[in-house]
Amino acid sequence: MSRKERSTDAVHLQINGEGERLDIEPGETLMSALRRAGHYSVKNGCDEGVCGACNVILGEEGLTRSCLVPAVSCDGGEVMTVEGLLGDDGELHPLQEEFLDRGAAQCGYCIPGVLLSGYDLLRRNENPTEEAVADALSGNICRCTGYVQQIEAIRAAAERLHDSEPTDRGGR
Amino acid sequence: MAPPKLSEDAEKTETPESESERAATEAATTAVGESVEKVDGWGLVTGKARYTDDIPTADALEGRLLRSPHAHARVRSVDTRAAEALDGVEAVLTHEDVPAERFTRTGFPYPAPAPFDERVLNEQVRYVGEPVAAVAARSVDAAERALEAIEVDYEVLECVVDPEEAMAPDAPTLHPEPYENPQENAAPERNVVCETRHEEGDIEAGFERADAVVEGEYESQIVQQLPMETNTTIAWLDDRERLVLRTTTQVSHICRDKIARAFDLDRTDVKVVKPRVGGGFGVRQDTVPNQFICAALALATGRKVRLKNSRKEDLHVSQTRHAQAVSIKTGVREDGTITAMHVDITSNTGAYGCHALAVLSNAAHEPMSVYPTENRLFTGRAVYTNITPGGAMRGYGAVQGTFGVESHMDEIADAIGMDPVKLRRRNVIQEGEESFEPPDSESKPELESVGVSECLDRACAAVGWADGPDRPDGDRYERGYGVALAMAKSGVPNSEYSRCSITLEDDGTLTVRIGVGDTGQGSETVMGQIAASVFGLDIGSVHVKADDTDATPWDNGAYASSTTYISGNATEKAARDLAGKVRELAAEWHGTDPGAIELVDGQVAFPDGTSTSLESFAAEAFEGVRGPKRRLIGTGEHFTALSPKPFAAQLAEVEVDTETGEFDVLRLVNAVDCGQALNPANVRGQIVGGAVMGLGQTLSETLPFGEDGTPEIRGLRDYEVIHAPDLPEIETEIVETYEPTGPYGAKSVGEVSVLGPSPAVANAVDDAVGVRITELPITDAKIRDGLEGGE
Repeated sequence: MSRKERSTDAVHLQINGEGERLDIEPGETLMSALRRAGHYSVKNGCDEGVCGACNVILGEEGLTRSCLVPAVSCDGGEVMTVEGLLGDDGELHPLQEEFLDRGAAQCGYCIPGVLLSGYDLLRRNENPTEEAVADALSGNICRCTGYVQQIEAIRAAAERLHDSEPTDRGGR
Repeated sequence: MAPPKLSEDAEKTETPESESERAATEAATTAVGESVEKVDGWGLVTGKARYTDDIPTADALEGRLLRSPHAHARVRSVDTRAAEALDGVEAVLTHEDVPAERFTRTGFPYPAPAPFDERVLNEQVRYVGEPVAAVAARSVDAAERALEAIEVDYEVLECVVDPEEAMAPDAPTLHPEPYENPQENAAPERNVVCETRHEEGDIEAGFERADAVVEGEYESQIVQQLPMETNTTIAWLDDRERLVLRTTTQVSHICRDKIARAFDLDRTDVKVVKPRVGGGFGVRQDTVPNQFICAALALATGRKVRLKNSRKEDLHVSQTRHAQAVSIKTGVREDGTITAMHVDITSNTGAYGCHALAVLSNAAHEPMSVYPTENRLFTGRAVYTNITPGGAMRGYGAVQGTFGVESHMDEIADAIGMDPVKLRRRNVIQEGEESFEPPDSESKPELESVGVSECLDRACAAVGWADGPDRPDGDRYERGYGVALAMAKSGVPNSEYSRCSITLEDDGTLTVRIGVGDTGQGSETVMGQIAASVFGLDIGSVHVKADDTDATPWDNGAYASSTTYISGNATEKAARDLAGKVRELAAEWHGTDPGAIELVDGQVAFPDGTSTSLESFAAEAFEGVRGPKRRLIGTGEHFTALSPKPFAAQLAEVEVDTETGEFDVLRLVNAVDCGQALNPANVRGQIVGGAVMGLGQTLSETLPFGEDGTPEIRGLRDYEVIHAPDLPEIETEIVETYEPTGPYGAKSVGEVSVLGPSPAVANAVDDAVGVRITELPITDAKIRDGLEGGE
């Protein structure tokens, strides 16, 4: 009996602005449903809501650990994954550029979740202190970097966004 | 600064012309020494990077493991009939279905310094969570129902989790049957994997010459690497019936070798694909049960099988850092001269001896190397117990040993009334002195680049140690400062082997093929930088192919801080070999001498002052307009008895509440000598990442096991790593030396900074409130106990 044969339900979501229908299994989490649909940037680091690797921006809920949310509860909702940070022409978001420039990504497994934590912070606080950035990352585990370059990168991105004209992607 | 030269074992025939060529390319070097973007960086920050499980597996069978609830048991029988009869179940494997031969999972080239003491599935299980049976089924649900339907008849045996108890005469024996490849003085009947002794000089005479003899004992706990991606394997048979593993490894070629040996397959019938890997830190050095079992399931079913550990499984069964008890006795003169040092270590290796000897040996030899003394003795033993096997973890024993030796140095200083920094300066290793190498090592111990004294100076300068650090005089909150020195290595001498092949494509770009095990540390980037620099090319003109054993020559992979030094040397040699071929062909075309051709800034420059771009040169060569078609390939290999040592000095500042014992680490300064920093941003990332991992071991991480061998941890929520808000102020100082045998002067940087935080913090706490914590982790409660005991 394959998963497909057992699937009993489906949800409709706007994922990074595109409408998608996801088949879901009974009790399936949003993380699992997104990954099965090929949204592999949503990482499964612990499946218990601790590491933040599966972070998504879920509509008005904002930053959400998708491993804790039943997929069925998201029907009709909007989901943004890290792939939603890219511009229409594929250009990197300042957060992504700063992460690259500052060596803030080592293995990269935590990075989608960390970037979305940073993105979520910058929507609320356009000029965060070092402490505010560290607090915003309190729900992310990065085992490689020791966070320091990530904190620097998020603050540098904030500065760049702050200095430039606000755009739809930048800080919104 | 001396010009770079290849290490002593490089081809002796290398012509002097290469020296001038090196000098010429050196000046134009753009890639090495710069913080270029990682070659895999775009994928990492866009979410496009693909890790093991990031491919469609709707067509794969789900693998699941039935794990032992007992720490020690003999499997009398396994009844799989009911499970096999379930709809959707394709295979159920037990120890009866896997090869009888035993091996070691440890990820060194065969035969490896480890006993062959385990099978793919064992008849006698030796830790809670050890796989007893494996299932492959067409759905998760079927796989899980199959696990429930398997009946195991266990003969539960007495278990032992404490190494001292395990060596007692009445203790149960974990490995009663003789095995191949026993290690030094193995006595498996009393659970001793190995027992080792290494003396230089005359230890007793050294103690006699001392004015004071200081003794101490230091204990470290079990922690885990905890890479963010759990151990995962997807295995299948390809269209030539070859076994393919897509898996989380840092040693793809060794993994292929071990899988092929275990299932008696030709090397050419196994392929290991290492996609992006979500961290390693040593746990991916071994070929883990997950990998062997997934291969067995794929071979048994002929189908694709996916086997991924849950986080809880990974926490319970992945190899750990070894818990060690380190006893140190040191003789010292009044002037601070160390006359003798004896380090004795008992290491708990758990159920299997995969890294027992090598970790034990490293635990003493690296930290003892920092303070050369005529008379030194290391004694130690590694002991089997019924807990998860100890494995390789960043630092590889030296975390435990450095906690001991560097805490002990402060105790010595205290005993003779000397400043601990002054004591270190008096005894610390200098350029030209010898490291303390294991007796069986053929390494050349004399060190050419030693920047540890400068590291110490820089760390101390950060707090003005020389004048006495600023110490706010709070009655309740006391500040304290502590330092620690550390040494690591650049590969295992006479064991590492890397080969690199570089193709000059017909547009002047380079394809570098090398089997390095990049798990995030940036090894592919560094290889690209090295290759680019030889030609004065931009990193963007180089593609590094490293993720597939079919496409790359043998490389031991990433462990022992070997990559930049060993694989980097192989890459530099391959690039210079290719450069030589370019010069020869260019000289042939222009009727001149190859030595007169320079390769600078991606240009082929001729003695008459004209030049052509590497792009046009490569295009002409392959078009064949001036002769036969050429697509030039350079190769290089590196194997060496050398292992240059990176050093660190780390300094912690703490504040302790003298009423409650609560304390904070306020600051951690990390001064590191890694030779030349080939990519400073990535070097800094390694230093900080290592230091924070070390801080986790110091302050909060612990993986406890109950008396019955059960891991006492429910999941990640119970395993306390450092989070961003917990960070102290972290400072990094890259103290560059020049390692003449390294690629562009580099040594290594992956492990050295994880070593110092524990003793630095322990020393700072003692400096603040006079409480010596000798057991990790350092907690408020232990300090409070110390404060109360002292009153």
